[in-house]
Amino acid sequence: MTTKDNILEILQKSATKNGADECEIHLFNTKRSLMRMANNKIIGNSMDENSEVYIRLAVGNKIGESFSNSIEEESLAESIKIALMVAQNAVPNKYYNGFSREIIKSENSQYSSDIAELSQEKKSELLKKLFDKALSDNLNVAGCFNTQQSNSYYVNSHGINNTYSGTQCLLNLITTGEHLSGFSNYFDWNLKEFDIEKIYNESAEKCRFNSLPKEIPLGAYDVILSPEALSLVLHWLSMIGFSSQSFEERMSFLYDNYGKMVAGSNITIYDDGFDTNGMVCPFDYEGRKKKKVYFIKDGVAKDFVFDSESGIRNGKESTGHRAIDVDYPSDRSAFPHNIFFTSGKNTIDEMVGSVKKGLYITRFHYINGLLNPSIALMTGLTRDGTFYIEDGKIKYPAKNLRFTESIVEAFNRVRMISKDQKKCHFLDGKSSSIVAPSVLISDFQFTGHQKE
Amino acid sequence: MDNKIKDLLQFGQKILKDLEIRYGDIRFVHQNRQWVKSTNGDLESLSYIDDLGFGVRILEKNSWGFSASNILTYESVEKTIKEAFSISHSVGKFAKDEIKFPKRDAIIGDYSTPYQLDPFSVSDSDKISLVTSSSSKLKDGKNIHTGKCSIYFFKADKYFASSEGSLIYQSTLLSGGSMQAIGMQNGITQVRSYPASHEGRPRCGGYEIINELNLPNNTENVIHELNELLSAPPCPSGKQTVILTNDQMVLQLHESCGHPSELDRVLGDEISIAGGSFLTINRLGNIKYGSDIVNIYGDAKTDGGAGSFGFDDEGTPAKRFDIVKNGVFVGYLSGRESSARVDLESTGAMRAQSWNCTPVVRMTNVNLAPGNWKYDDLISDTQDGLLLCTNKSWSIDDLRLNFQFGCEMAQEIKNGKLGRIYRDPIYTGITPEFWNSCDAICDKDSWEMWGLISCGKGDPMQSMHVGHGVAPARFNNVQVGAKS
Repeated sequence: MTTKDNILEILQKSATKNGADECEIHLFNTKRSLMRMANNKIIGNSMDENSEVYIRLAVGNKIGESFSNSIEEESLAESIKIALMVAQNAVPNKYYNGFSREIIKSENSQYSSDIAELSQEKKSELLKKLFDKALSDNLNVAGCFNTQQSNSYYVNSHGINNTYSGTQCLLNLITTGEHLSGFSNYFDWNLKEFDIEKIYNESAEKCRFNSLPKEIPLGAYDVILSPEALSLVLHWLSMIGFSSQSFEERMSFLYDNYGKMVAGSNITIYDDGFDTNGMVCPFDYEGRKKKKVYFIKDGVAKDFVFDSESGIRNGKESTGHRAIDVDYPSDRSAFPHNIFFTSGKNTIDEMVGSVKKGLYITRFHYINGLLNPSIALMTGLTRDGTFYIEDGKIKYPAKNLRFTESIVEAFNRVRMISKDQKKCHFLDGKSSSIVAPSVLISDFQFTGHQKE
Repeated sequence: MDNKIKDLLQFGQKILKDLEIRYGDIRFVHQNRQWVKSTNGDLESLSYIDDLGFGVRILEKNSWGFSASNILTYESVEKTIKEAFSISHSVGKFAKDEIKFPKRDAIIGDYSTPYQLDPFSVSDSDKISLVTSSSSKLKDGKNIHTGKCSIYFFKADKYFASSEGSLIYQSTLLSGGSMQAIGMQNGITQVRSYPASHEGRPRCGGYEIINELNLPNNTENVIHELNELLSAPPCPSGKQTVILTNDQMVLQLHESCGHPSELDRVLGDEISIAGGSFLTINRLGNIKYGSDIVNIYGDAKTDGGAGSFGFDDEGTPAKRFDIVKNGVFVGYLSGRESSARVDLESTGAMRAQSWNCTPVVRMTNVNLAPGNWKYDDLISDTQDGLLLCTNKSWSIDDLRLNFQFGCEMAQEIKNGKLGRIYRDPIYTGITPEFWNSCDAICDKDSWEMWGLISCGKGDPMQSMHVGHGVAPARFNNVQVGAKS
């Protein structure tokens, strides 16, 4: 049986005996158990184990890399051969200054044996109770119930070996009634707060209004964005506003604004791979330690994330955020994976109570942040729980609307921030999360209706 | 074809046939990909990706089980099949409803993408030289600070066998490339892409596709157009007649027709992330999706289509079928199970990103049939309108009704002539209203096969390359600008 020590030994051997001047190997190994549901039934049920192996080596200052999905010795040898060939064919890399020499120890393991041992059968039992409840409530449940164990290994020819293990559980529930739908979910590395009935009730209550959803006139409204809704906005900001690519392409709204006020003084957004309030991810694809990076601090524009190459290109240090999508490796950038939006002081009741005319938004659909990244102009639609608020009370459900808004400008109009935050799912399969509160924003622009 | 994989495939098939199950299949997928990318004359990546494994799907009574492994041994095949069976069986205890999955005869066949020049035989140094010289030329252009160029090649060898006796071998090859320039002037930033954004115009075929792109000789054009955009005024808002060029029509067709016609969405299976569809079952054959001249069809056999193959990932042979006929919605993209639920036949659209993903209903090639207008005549016939080019942003609601697209460039059409350039055009609409306003589609002289390499769907998300045959078309009374 392949144990962690075996794997380290295999990887270390491959990293050192291959004829390159330097070599590094990053292995991300996952074991997933996935369940999809729709119409109060389990419609998909799967388990798999896979490895992402990323090999990079240097011959002089020419870099070669290859990707594969096997840690069999023969396969690793072949991948190294390909990487060597690539290095020989490559042109000298001006931005290379050696591989990591950092030994990284993470004190905070986010590994739960409850999740690792949660069987498909047990998950089915839990879901059956949910389906029975939904049927008796005349509602329909859809979503997913995914659990995962993952191990990250980074080794290189300098004898560095860094490892990290974690687990994740994601339960997404969309409950649909005749005219309304609601969303809720659970996302964490353990099952301590996992209460399936509570999660169901949160989504089901959004379907239980006595009135039909009404069409709201377009225009500007106060909005309360739930943590899930805000997290999708932050997801887009991470790409168009905080990444090294957005800096180098000068597209980010933060570009050239270092030290200037770009948002309200109550806004602080940062990335921290060691903060245990989110998912922990101690090192990046280059084995470099994740540094805490503020993007906006008390409304003031701060920094971006960088990896070693983009850092050297721009006179910055690596912040340990090199990210590679193995399916599309040309899309590389330093990219934040563990984002936090700091909390405030208010309760949801206080926030709702302060709204004269506005909307509560549970979730967004299909946000796109490419309309004009320099002002973070985004568009998207509401779904699964949108409610009209009037004179401090939730009055009735609203039909879905499209917003088109500059998020930078919106972040100058945040009146209240909740004291509670939620850990939201971010990137499938990675040790990533967005920890967000609810926010009350004035004059958020709605520009379209969902209608036939 | 790899003989070791063939042996493992047949070994697995025998086990599946001997099991007491309604259906089982085993699918080995070996993907080899290459990306070569340059930014500002520097080589950013020269990547080889090798991915190999197999997945087993079992239907035992009334629930599915799926398991997958990257270990290619007889023991692993046996273990994985047992695991898929066990998953299906353990969940099946709680399943109440019947899963319709009609039997069919074995399908034996093979398929290979036709191509002229194997991209993996072209030297890395030639590829590096192509992308670095192109990106460098862009970077040196006036007002340009970032020039990017990338080319990519996806090869997939698939081996499929089922308990029904099907045995299929396929090898597909996809190639593509693109360039992008980003520039700034007086605080305005603009982007211009060639041949399109979204990594260009991927098609099934070999390196001949890269040669046709003629990247280095198109850099001047990109630089020129970017500078026009930098000094252009913002696109005016209001109700307009618009003509979509092919590189924008791709996204329009994809989002507002391709996705809503996926039958699993219609049946509620994708509510969790992707959403549903307004093309409900009771609307099949009844709803006027578009004007009488609008004909849209699915066709996995289209030459060079990014979504072309011989057989889908549950062994159904590639098909051509109507989705919209003379404006009326008449057909879905579907698989065996989804189609059986509504007493239709599968249209062979089950596709999986990789061996460790279960197939879901996907676009293959979803094409807009050409009309009968010459492009120049269409422009001359338009008194007052906008030509909208090259997609920049895309957003549509969960039922595929309200959409909003941003483009890189708009060009005024006045009295039948192309006029000034505008930047940052956005247009929005409601799908059936929009398509019913279509009064002209260009003919086969303007019809081209385009595609997208990363269409996202599923939970967890799967990415898939899909094709779209398109021609420029005209639409009336369209809201240009964000507000509807």
